[in-house]
Amino acid sequence: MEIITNSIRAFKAEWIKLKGTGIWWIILIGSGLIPVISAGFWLNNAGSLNRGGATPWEDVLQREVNSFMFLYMLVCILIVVKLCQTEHRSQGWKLIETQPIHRAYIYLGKYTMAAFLSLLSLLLFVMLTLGGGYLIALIQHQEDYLNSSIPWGSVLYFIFRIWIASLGLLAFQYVISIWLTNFVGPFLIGFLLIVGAGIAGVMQSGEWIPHASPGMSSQHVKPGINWFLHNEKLSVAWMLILLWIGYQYYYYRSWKFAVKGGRQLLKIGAAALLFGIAFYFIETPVTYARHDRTVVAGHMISPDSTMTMAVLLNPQTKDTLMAMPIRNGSFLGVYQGDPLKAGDYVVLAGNVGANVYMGDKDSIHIRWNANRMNMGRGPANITGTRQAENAMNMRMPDDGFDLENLQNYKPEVFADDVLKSWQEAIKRVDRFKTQDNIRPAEDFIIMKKKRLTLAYLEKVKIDYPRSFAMYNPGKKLEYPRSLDTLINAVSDAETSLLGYPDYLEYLDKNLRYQGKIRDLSFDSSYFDLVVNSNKPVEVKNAMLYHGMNGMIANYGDSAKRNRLYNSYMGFQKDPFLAGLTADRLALENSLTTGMPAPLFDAETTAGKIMNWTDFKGKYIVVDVWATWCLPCKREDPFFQSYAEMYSNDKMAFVALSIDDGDDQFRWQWEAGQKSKLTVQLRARDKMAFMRKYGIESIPRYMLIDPQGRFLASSLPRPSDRLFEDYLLRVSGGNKDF
Amino acid sequence: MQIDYAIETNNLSYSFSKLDKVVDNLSLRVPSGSIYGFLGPNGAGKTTTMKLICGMLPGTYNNISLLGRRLDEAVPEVFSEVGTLIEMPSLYLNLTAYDNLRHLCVLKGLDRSVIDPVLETVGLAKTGKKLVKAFSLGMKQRLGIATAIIHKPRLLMLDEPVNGLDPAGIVEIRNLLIRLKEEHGITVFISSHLLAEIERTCDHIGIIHRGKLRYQGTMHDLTSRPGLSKEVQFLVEDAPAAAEKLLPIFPGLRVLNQRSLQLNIDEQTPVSEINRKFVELSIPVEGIDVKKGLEEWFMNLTNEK
Repeated sequence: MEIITNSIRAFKAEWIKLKGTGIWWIILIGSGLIPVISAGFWLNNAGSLNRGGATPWEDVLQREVNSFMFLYMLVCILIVVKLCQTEHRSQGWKLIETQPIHRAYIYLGKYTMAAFLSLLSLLLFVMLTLGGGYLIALIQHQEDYLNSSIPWGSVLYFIFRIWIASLGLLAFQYVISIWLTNFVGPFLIGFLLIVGAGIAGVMQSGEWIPHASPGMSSQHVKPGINWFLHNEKLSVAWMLILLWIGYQYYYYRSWKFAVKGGRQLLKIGAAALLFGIAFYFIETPVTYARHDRTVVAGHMISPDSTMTMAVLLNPQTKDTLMAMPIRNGSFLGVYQGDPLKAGDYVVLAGNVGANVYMGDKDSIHIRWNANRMNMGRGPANITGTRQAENAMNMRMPDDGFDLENLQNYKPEVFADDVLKSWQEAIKRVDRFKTQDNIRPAEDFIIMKKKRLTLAYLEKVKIDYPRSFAMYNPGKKLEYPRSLDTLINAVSDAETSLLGYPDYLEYLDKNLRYQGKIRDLSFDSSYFDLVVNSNKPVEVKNAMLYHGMNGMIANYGDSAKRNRLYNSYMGFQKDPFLAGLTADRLALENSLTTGMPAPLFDAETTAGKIMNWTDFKGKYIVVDVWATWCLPCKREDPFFQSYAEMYSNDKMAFVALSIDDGDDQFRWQWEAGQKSKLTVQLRARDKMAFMRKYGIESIPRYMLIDPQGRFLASSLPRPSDRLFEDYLLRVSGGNKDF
Repeated sequence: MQIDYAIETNNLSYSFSKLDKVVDNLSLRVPSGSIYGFLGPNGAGKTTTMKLICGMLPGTYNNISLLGRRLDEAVPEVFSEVGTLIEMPSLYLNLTAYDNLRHLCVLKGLDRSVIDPVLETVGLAKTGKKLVKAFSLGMKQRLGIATAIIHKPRLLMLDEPVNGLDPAGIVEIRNLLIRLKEEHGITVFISSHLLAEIERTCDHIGIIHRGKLRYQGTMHDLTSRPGLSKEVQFLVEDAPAAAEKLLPIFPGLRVLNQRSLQLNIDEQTPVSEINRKFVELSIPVEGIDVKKGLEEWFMNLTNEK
């Protein structure tokens, strides 16, 4: 009871002392600056951004908060310095120490006031940002924003977490502001620490500095799997230890007395130990162990009516490994088949999908927001035993490495640059952890490191030697020994990487370089080299598979394709890969000129079913597109203008949409806007259509002859002049033939 | 509970460095209900002693008792009965006089109705919205005193309370202290480097020099010390002529110049008595100047190396 009354008294006393300190101005300007500036930005840049928030409001808040953090921390520092300066300048310490209230209340009262004012600053910022944002959305009729209400719960929770993250910084500033009686000292130290933490953050270190914490929290509207991020917990630990240390100084008014005497030293030791333990438990990254079963589950926020099934797909064959019914937006499946090799898989639910890294005995949970998806792929939130792995895949793409003008580098200099850059990249992988302080499992890290090494090896083993030989004829290239660690980091027979196309690509390049075979050449000398290499049979199988795929995709002549296939497929010892290659060839053959274009159901905007047979006697120019496909829309004006020029009783222009789910309503509307000279159709079963036509990306343009046979299963884009060549060829050069 | 001493220290010593003792073996006895003058030249250790008594310096709490309780046990509750003003008054320059006192009322748990009477008492009732940063030195000193007496303490500790005050202000504060003592029975402990100030106000005195207590006792005991004399100078029209008439009565009389006579008399002898003799002998006195022996004694005391 006394504790409460005394605490209230101390806080009230601080409140009185705020008058005339200028602190209110600091808060007002500090919190208002960004909202006012970005109000101008909004006015000029209408349009939404997608950062994976549940609503656009969270996205906008996240962006604004990110830019606010620097100012916010400055506001925190200024508040603390000002509060302490009030006492220093008035010698108020002396006054409040001769009051009938324990010093601890005064000490904590002042800190509480600083924390309270910081919270006010954050709240003011949010009110101005969202309030102002709402006003602007209203003026500009930005439906995206107006259609979703501001999610106050999650917004306030976000702000609260940032506040928690700033408690350590406030405590730090409080202690040095009590200790250093001038204004400049504590302010400068705080300022430098903010800047320092920013620089350290870029270098993925120094995350433990209290001044780094708010910035880290501000990057995540949602805390992840725990209530608080590790930096937020650490901030509280910092607050406790720093306030305690500060109190020792405050109480004794000198560091000398604060550390004097055995009892005092014992207390300090105990406090340091406690903090050390807390630090260890908070900051040591966690690595998840495997689960007892292989589980895939997920949840769809605002799913549409067509989302009835979720499927787990094999990344290579796109075969369905497991199908899971979606009920109330949720699905769950336990995989019972042969153990899955760890790697990239695809989970599709209705028309939205996610790439998921997983393997045997992993439990994966995926969360989507169907409303916030673009082009069927949107940020999915993946948690579970492979949370960190998936986060790393999403946030840290395998970064390439590039050096221009290799001839300008001496071998030693080149080796040095490559090595340094590679080691940096390796370090980035080693340091990676999620905001929840989870590290990827070791198998993934090893794989990730090896894969990122490939770009470096390509430079070292192919690009540089090639350039060296060209500019230094007759000379022998010798790398310094120091490069051996890089050269030996990935062997030419890493069976664990065979599932990754980039590794096969790398092996392929190496083979071509050594065998002096140019790129994209898949003749028999190439396949001889593949099947005669002394690599393990597993590697050979994979390379053969890779080579065959390339060959099939690159050679339009089906006779040549089939000859090479028949000559070398005997060497494929892996029945699975052999099956894939056979399927691929069959598909490609079915799409070659002269083969009948597969039939499928398409519907008009009026719902009438149509098929190629309905166009009998006409050449058909087909544009495969979807409302969510931006490149398609860029090509559309070209396609329409060709339709105006060329369509007649011998040639039809068909725009075939693969929209499904709720997108089909958008399609109905958009299709109605198009030129009447184009026939607007929609594939009823998108997946079946794409499989039959081997379509992996859109836009795709095709030409079908009056007998319903392919003239070309993949035309150049309409924006390309070559597109018209095809039209001219079939029309005999006469637009009105 | 009636206690003998409001402040008691036993062999109190304190040093900021190893070589120099600022306070050396000090045993103060400040009787309850007294106005105790703590006298010493600048740098004698007065302020340090007061800070020690208030527990404002780190280190030892032992050897000190405040209002009958050991300091380390009494702090901070004892400050509800003790008012202090040490060194410069601690005032928030960004606030008004009223808000400064309101801040204290909050900390002390007092009703804010006590503020106006106190401002009246120290003569700051009309400062209104004026911020303390615009106050004169004297006004700040008055407000400082107000901060020390707002809660009607039983013990008031004031360090050089009349610093910066004009003569009228000095008299006001002096009267205030005497009134507080007489009306409320407050014990007042004031420090000063001016003997005259202490002499006029205090009934008890302690003299400190170089950290050591040189004298402690009642004012009466001090002034009645045998051997103290005072030097009186009379301004007359014709000094040699007057001296002729006076010499038989005052053999120690000296002629300083044409208009001045000087006489050393016992500390207890009133000057008026001497003056009457002058009048009886029809020597008109135009002016009297008294140089007190106590001052002389004090100067000698504090000049000792």
